[in-house]
Amino acid sequence: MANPHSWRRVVAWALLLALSLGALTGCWDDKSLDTRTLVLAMGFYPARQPGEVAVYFAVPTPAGLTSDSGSSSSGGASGPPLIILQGVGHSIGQAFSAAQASTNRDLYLGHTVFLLFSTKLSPFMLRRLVNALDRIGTLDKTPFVAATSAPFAAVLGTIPQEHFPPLYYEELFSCTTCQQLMLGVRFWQMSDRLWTPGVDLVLPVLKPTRQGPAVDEVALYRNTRYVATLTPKETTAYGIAAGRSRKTSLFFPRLWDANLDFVADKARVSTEVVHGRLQATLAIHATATLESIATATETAGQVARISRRAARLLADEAAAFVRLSQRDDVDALGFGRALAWAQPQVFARYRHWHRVYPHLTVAVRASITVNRLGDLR
Amino acid sequence: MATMSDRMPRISAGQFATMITAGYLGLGIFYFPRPLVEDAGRVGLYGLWLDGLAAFLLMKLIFAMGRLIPNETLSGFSAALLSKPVSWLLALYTIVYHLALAISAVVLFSFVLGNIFLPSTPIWAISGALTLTSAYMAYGGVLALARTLQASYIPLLVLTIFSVSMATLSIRHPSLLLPTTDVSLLPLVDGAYHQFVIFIGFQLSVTLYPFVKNGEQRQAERYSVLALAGIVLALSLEYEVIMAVFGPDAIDRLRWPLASTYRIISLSGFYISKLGTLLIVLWTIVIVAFVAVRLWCLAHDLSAMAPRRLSYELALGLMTLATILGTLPFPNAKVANLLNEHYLLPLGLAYLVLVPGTVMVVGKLRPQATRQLRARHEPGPEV
Amino acid sequence: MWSPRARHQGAEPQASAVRDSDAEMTSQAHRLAHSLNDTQAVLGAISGVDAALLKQLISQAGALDQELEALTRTLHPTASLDEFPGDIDAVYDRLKSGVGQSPDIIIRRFLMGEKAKIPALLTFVDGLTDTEMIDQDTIMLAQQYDQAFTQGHDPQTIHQVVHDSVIASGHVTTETSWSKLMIKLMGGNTILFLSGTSTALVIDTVKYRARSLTTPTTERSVLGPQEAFNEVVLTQMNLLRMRMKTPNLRFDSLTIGDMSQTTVIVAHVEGLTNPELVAAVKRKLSVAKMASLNVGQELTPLLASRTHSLFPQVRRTERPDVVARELTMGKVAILVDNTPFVMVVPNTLADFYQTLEDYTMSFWGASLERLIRFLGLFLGLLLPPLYIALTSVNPELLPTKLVITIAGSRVGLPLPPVMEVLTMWAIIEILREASLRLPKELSNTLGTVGAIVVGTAIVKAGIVSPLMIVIITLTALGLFTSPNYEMATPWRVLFWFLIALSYLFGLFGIILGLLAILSHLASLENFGVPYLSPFGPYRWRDLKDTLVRFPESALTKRPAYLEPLEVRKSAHWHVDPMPHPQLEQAQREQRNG
Repeated sequence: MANPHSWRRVVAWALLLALSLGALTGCWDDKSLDTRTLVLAMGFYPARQPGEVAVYFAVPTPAGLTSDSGSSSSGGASGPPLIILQGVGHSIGQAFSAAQASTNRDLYLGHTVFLLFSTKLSPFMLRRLVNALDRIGTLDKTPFVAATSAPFAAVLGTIPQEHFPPLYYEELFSCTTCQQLMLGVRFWQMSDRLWTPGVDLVLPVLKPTRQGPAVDEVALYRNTRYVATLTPKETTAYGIAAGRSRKTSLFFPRLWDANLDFVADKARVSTEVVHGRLQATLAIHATATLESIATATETAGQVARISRRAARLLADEAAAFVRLSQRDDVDALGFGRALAWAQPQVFARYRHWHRVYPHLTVAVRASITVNRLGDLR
Repeated sequence: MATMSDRMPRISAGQFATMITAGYLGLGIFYFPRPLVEDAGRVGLYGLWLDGLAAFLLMKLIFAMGRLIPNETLSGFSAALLSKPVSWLLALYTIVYHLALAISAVVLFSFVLGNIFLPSTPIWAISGALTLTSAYMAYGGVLALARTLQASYIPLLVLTIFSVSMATLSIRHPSLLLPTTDVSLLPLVDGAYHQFVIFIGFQLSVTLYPFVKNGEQRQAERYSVLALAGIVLALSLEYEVIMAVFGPDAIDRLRWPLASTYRIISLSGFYISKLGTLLIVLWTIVIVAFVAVRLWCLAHDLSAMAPRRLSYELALGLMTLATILGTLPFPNAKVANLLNEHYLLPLGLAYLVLVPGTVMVVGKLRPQATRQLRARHEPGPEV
Repeated sequence: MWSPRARHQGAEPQASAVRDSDAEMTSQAHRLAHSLNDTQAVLGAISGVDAALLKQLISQAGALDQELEALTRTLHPTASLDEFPGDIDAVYDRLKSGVGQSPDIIIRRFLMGEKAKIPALLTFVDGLTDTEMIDQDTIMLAQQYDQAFTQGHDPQTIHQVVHDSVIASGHVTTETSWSKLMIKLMGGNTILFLSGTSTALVIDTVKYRARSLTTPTTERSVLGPQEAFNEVVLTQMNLLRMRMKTPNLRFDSLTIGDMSQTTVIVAHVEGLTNPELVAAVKRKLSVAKMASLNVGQELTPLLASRTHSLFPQVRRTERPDVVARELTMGKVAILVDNTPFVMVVPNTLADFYQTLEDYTMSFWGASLERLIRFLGLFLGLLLPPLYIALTSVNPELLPTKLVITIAGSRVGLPLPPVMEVLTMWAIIEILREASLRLPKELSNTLGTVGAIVVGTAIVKAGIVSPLMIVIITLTALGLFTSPNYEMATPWRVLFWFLIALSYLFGLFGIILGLLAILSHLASLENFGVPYLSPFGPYRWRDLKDTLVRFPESALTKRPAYLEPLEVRKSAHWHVDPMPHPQLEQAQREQRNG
């Protein structure tokens, strides 16, 4: 060691030099927010040319931003709060570049909160899209996903309560007490379902109506192929079978006009091979509040009858959905996955689960705990 | 050649354990638990425990070697014990190996960060900044490095607990928490072998062991083993969470399973909503620590084996430069991962078994030489 | 530039240089004579010059002449210049020609005893001494006292009698060395020369012109004592003694500064403070070589291990209670005359965030304050870098709604966030510096007005966003939550470092920067104490008094990093001799009985 101090100086200078060199090369990722175009939502639709995809980007305009934040710095700029950019290409990358050409600022995906997939997308294209979205580093994996048959602009049409419709959907889906059925699917859950054998994808469907968007239907997919959209009633059955019910209410006119509210349920799926036969079970357990009853005060016997009846109702609904899904050959509840996790080697024997699923025997059990109204007198 | 009297700073038992712990975990942490699940499926947890057991045994072995001549580093005494050419070969191996480890860790983390966080920043800038910070940490010497690690491991501990508990909220398949009893041995061992990459790196004990304060060696070993147990526990928790969130099939397809798990953590009603993404950046501490102890070890060995006097600072500078230059040719993280799996893992395992084994056997065969060496490096009275 | 020789030209002959050989002395006398001649020669040669200059030259020559004469006179009976000969006239001449030329030096000749009439001389510095003591307790008594003087005329006896029976001053010492006497004289002592003895009496008549004790201004306290040190080292020691009556409190004195002769006191508690530490402090101070020690801060480079570090390693405080507490913990305090701040070593980073205030309130309050201090540090240091990182580099971390709000507030702004931060920070720093230097009345107004006017105007002007004002205000305030003023400086500097890193690498850069700072802190050591102590290395015992303050019952031991000889500080608190006094019962008995 000749002189430790001189070394120290050399190191310090080297660091300084490296730092200043680094600073000279440019500002890399330092792009301030006003030079970025925040993409709040993306929509994926089949393009006119086969094999191409049209990607829509919903971005807030400066006018929308200032009027939202209540800032007065730019004066009262007027115009629509949100505009939609469009890009067409064989891949997301191409479409992205095409859309980038129509704005002078950096299209930024870090705040995409909502992804919309057209039900008309080909299975091949959907697979390619999800694959690509999975790989985009800046894109978060938590945006909510939905399917639709309506055009992107219609789905993101004016929603009375919200300046930026994508945020409306994000809030709606992330709020557990704001929906009858918890239908929200995040992107990572979507890709998780797609890559896991023995379970199929179910996406909420957005249907624009005059009063605003309706979210009471789901789309079923077999692998990446769109199969069908369930009616609102079938969707309720799906919600109960999948344990996603939060605010369903049941009414029993024959049983003292009893009204059960806030039916929240949990569902457990298990599949195993017993004596060489596949056996699947769907067990549902729900809790509900007895909201009103004609007799004003309920007895234990009444509650027992109501809960028996309610359990049967739930079981029937769930069984109906299972039959429906078997008809469409969509394993929305993941009976195959349950088998794969419990007995991987057994599952591996069924090379095509979709040939097995329609013939699977499923036993549905339901139970319900009724929180009593309490004595009014 | 530097002798022990040149390096008076001695570290405490706790600091030794911290540094040893910082010495592994850097490699392949972001791929965890993919190698396990890929081969072993749902029973990967057992594979992790198997790894922990293997790491424990190998750690014991390397400490046993450290006790042979407790006051001199391997590069310091190997010439006298194992003959000059062997010692040179060994030192070269050690240096090249540690350099490769450092480079690999830097490359992997830089790509993770570059992909998720700094898409427009060139990778060399990320890896350069990372390496320079590590070099600065190593520059203060072993004591300062140990203290820095100690201080920065408190937030890291909090972070780990926090991240695990946050990720717990995303668990959707609680049934996956219990591994199946459906165990087949071969895939399990295979998975455990591939996952062992996460424990590669505590061989720096051969250089670090002599720096432990006299009389605290046994305690230092105990602490290191305890820390290992803690790490295995933490990894088990992470494993469980990742497994129960994604399921074994999706883990295969996740890009960086740990990073991907963190990325689904989000919190509403706070200034930072993507807390998980923030946690990924905080993992910088682990990687910087991994590289810093490596650079310290490299610089130390280099200055010890250099034919002429080479100061620690200069050696550190050289090794930092080598690391930075070494990261440049990597086109992507995959190459670094292949390097890990195909070269660093088997070579590291070989090092962990062969070096202590050889030294112990030779030590037994040449008790006279061992005694002399031990006496020569006995520390003088404390100043 | 000074040299030891140069400073003694003229008035005071230098003792050590002359004492050694007579030859040298005579040569010096010759030199002086020569210079006198030279002067006269020069005077003669000059014609038609300024009369005033001439007069000055003549008077200077006269002084030189006088000094020379005094010197030769002193030289005659004794061989050494440094001793005074016992001849009052000679002393008088010597004083008069030397220090006595200065108007604040009073030289008083008088006769001792009404009958004996022994010639004596007394000299002191006007203003530094208590004239009452000189008048009444020295001169008056000496003039009137006669008893002993009649018994004999042996000068030694008289000297002894004067020392023992005449002078009514508390602290009297004797001194023979002229050079030391001069220093004592300048320190405010009165020197009494008696005819016939070569020993002079040094009477302590020092009266310090001291500022009265005021309340601390830099470290205020709500519930703690309200007393601060003043400049006088004796008062400082007194204030410490008042708080620590143990005889083990030691004050070891050093003198630093060839010209200033500043008293430096090393305070420690014998049997408690690690003796190695005390010895190290003294050793480090003993090598101090400086012409004058004006403020104690000049000693900090000697006491810090890494002088160029940003971080303060020596804690300075004006609160005696803080010093007393640190001393009882096992630290060493360094008191410097004329500096109202006492230095305490060794220190850790956490020490700079402790105040005595923390111990005057419940541990809840204290812990809350500690946490808020660290929160202040965190916000002050990291808020602007985080703002840059989160709005420019990694906006994906923020909630979408917040991002939209920030983006909205930034619409139309011409500058990127980093320039916003720089602009605002420059404004704040200028305001702060200006308000520090201005008179108090003005500074308050200016600070408030400046902040409000500049703040609103700059937003209105569309240069920075309103959010930035909030952030920079928090930053400016946050860094000063540290109880120690000095601790804000390193963070204010490192702030720039973090700004640059966050600009380049966003959050990743901030983490790297923090690691580098941590690593620097870990490499600092002060007297062998790791600066980062309870955190790295871990010291579980000390951790209880860092981020939060544990209840007193948990803090029964002294800090481990100081390695004190006596570890335990207080007894276990849960020994309770009496759970509840029987108040009610006593009252009842009193009433009944």
